[in-house]
This record gives sequence, structure tokens and C-alpha cells, in this order.
Amino acid sequence: MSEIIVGLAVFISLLIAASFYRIFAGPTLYDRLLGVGAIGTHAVLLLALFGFMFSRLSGFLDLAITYAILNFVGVVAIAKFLDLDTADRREEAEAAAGMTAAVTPGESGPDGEKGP
Amino acid sequence: MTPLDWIAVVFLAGGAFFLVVSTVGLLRLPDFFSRAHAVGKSETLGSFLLLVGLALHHGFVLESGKLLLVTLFIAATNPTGIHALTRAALRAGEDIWVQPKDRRRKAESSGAPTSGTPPGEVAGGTPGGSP
Repeated sequence: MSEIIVGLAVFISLLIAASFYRIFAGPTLYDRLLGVGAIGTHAVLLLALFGFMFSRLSGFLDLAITYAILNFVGVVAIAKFLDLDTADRREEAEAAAGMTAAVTPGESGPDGEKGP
Repeated sequence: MTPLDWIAVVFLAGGAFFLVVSTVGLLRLPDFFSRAHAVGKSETLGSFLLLVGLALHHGFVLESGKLLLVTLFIAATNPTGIHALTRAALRAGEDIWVQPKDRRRKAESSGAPTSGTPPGEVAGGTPGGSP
């Protein structure tokens, strides 16, 4: 059984190494963040397996719980921050559109075309 | 190996399989949303099976309760975090991948602007509040 657990730890390490490709080569920022979140979840599993390998399960499980909480809070905080950035940009675009509409009110409306 | 260990091995094998599925999806799928779907579902199920398998192997002691706590925490937070990320990407206007034939059809329909769907159909379809 301990060979199976060591094999699983090596296997999850290989999956983490493969997931780094998405962080380095991801076309968008969101792809990179997705890779970071996936590696965090894999690291929690790796910590649980380390607890079995080194016969200190209780301590390593505390580390795993802490790492899971930090991973979740980090990903949600960065997603919320990017969302706030998007909302700011949308607000600025709407303000700019409203300003141009206020500068030329008579020419761009449908009534101005129907008049003559 | 006890019979409980054999059940644990089955759970560990299932967890390893779904973790491989999630990583292959993360590396190979075409756009961000499909990759997020692969990671959000397969990885949650894989971690669930692997941690439950470890708890079964360990037996009914206090550390198994802690393992189940980690399991429940990951099952609750991993899809939530990826949902927040996907929502941010959707609101930021990230491109959504479509099949190549649907992409061509979409380009054709947008190339002829007057022959599109009537506006009443679109306006009636979008709110869709009536049961």
C-alpha cells in the first residue's frame, strides 16, 4: 500500500509539472489563473499524500487545510479584482458615450433625419 | 491487504483517472471556458475520490475525519473559485470558441445585415421571464 501512495505522489507531481505549461503559455490572464488554481488543488492532494509517506498525517493535514483556504481566497480575490477592473472600464466607456451624446444632441437622433 | 484496502485502491485509481482527465483538458481544450469546465468538474471529482480513498485506507480514526473535512472543503471551494474566475472572464468579454461550421454560419449571417432575425423575435426571446 505504501508503494501505491508513493506512486500516486510521483504521479501528481507529474500532473503539476504538466499544468505549468498552461501558466507559461496560456493565451490569456484567466488561463494562467486557472492553471494556478489547478496546481493549488493538486498541491493539497500532494500534502495529504506526504502525510501518509512521512507518517505525520495530522500535521500535514493541517497544512493541507491551510493551503486549500489560501488557494480559494487567492483565486476568488484575484477574480473579483479583475471583475472590478472590467466594471471600471465599462463605466468609463458609458460615461464617454453619454458625453458625446450630450455634446451633439440634435444631429445623431432619428428625429434629426426625419425633419427635412 | 484487507478488503477495505482493496476498496481504497479502487477509489485511488478513480481519483488518479479523473485527475488525468482534468489535466489533459487543461492542456488540450480550445478556449478558456472549456478549460475551466474541465478543471472545475473533473478535478473536483478526482480530489474527492482520492481523499476518500485515503480516508478508507487510514481507517476510522480522527485523521480520517480531518481528511473528510479537506474533501468537503475542496468540493465546496474548487468549483466556486473557478466559477468566480469564469464570471470575471465572461464579463471582460473573453472570446467563446464555437465549432468551425457554426463560425462560418455566423459570419454569413452577420455579412447580410438586413436578412437577420426580426427584432421582435430577439426582444421576445431575451427576457424570457414568463413561465
